[in-house]
Amino acid sequence: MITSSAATPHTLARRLLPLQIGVALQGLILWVPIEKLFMTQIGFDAASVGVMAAAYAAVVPLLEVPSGILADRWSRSWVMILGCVALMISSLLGGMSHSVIAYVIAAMILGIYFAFSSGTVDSIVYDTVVEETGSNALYEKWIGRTRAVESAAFVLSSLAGGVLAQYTSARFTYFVTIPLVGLAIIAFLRFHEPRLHQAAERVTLRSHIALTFRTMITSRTVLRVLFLVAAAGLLTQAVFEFGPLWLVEQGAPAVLYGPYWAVLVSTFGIAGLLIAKLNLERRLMLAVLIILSLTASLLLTWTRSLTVLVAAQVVLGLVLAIIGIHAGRLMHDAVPSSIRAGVSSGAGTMTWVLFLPFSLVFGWAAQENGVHWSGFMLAGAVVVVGVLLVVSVRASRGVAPVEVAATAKEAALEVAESGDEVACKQFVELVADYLDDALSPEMRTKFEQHLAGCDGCSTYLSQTQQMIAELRGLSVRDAQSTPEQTH
Amino acid sequence: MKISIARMIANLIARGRALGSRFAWWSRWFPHATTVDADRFQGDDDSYPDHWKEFPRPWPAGHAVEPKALKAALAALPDPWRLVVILRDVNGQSPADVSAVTGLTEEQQRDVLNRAREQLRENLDRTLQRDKGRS
Repeated sequence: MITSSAATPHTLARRLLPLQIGVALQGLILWVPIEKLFMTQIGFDAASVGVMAAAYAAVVPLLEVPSGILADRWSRSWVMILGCVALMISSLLGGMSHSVIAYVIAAMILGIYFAFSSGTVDSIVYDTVVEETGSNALYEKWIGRTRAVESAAFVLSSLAGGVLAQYTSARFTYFVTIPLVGLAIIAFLRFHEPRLHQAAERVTLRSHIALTFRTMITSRTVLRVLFLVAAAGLLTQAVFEFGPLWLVEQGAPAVLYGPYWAVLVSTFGIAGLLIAKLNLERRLMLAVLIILSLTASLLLTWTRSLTVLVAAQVVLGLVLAIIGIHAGRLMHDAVPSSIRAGVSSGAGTMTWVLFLPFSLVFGWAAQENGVHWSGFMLAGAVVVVGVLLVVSVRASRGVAPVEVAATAKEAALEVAESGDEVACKQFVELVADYLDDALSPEMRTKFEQHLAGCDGCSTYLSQTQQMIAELRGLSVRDAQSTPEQTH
Repeated sequence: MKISIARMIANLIARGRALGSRFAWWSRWFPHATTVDADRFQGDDDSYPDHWKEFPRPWPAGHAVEPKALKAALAALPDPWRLVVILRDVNGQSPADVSAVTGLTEEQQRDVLNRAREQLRENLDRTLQRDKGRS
């Protein structure tokens, strides 16, 4: 995997360039830093901010999976472009609004943007990497770079937006955002989209939706990874959403919030650059990450020092971003390209669904006992993420370049060696070894003895052999599916 | 006594090495991912532990596997698995070739191949039994 992919990064880099430019331009939302200020100017109070958050939170999860399925069936670039259009409309309406209602509508349209773009970029990157290099080995590196670009744009826009608002007006930042997003659309149009997801045969919309949901629900591997992605997302969101509460409780000076926020956001980018250097298949690396995040979340429940608080949050944000990227890769490894964006968006929906009760309980706990106490909720969530991560990495049945997770074959061989005969359960583990003539002579005898006496297993083996014969009859083009089937 | 203890320790070390080099240490805490769903075999309390609960259903005689069904089944495989199947079964390349391309050991690519083939067989089986029910 490593050897075959090392040859092509140049074309890969060139191909992904317009995508990254688009993502960067799309991230330059200049009104983000002054949004809360602007909202109070047009008459928002605490209650109506809550209403807006609720309206917004209702739109995103509702649209997530449909937009993912749309991306899988139609075009991922165009779904990104639709998202950009929603962002432009939202900025326009937001900038023009003079009342709470108008702004809430703008925020709901912003929700469309989030739903359309979430899960789409990583699906595009994954498929482009596979299409260009024939393997998934470089996915983390490239999604990491894309995230780094995105977070650099966020940091830049939050600094520039504040300055711009100071010298012009809050409204102006909304209008300036629109042409920038327009440029992002041009960049996405220039991007040559991977067509892997359309290589599979066209199926009806109904069976496509059914396949997407069935994959998410019935496959235990996929479900576990989805939970992992959602739990990591939930924690990240919690750190960003509630992190400032700790600073508020400690009475941090106002001037601190800007740099604090910039550092927290930049953890995304740093994680994106770091991930290429880290090997998360290694158990030591996993242990270090889990211990770091657990320590950081426990520190939040305990320390009163402002420096330690900020450091702990930054470490937590960084580790979670790293885990999030790796979890995303595990998820993409487990699903075929034709339903990639749909499943990926499903993880986004799960994050929202989990976040809602989590944030309610968190808020209640913080109100009752102080925000330090609700830090234990973060620690609890870290434990859940840690366990899911360890189990998922171990069971990741995708082809890991360095280590393949333990398989049942070892166990089957052990049982078969200790007993006199092979049972059906062990037989099925040894079929590939038998056909490759890789069994020891004694084991081969035992295997053949069982085969002679077991109708079930001879059916099983002959079906497998018949299938292999049919596979030989396919051409490679057929097996990867030809583009002419797509239309 | 001394000899048996020494032998026990030697065995333990050998086992530990074999395990330690390949798996993460926690792997023994969890059931292994099996090729065929473990529920399809009888449990320890049944009359034939580890044997099929129900035999795999034979495919209708003379009924060839349709390339269309095969392609659909291939498309449903995770990408890395499909790569191994294409190299081994479609191209007919050797395990060593696969190792060179994927970086897996021959042993590992066989594990992947075995499970990918089973997923394909299972998928074809579902299609064939459904078609049989229809006609």
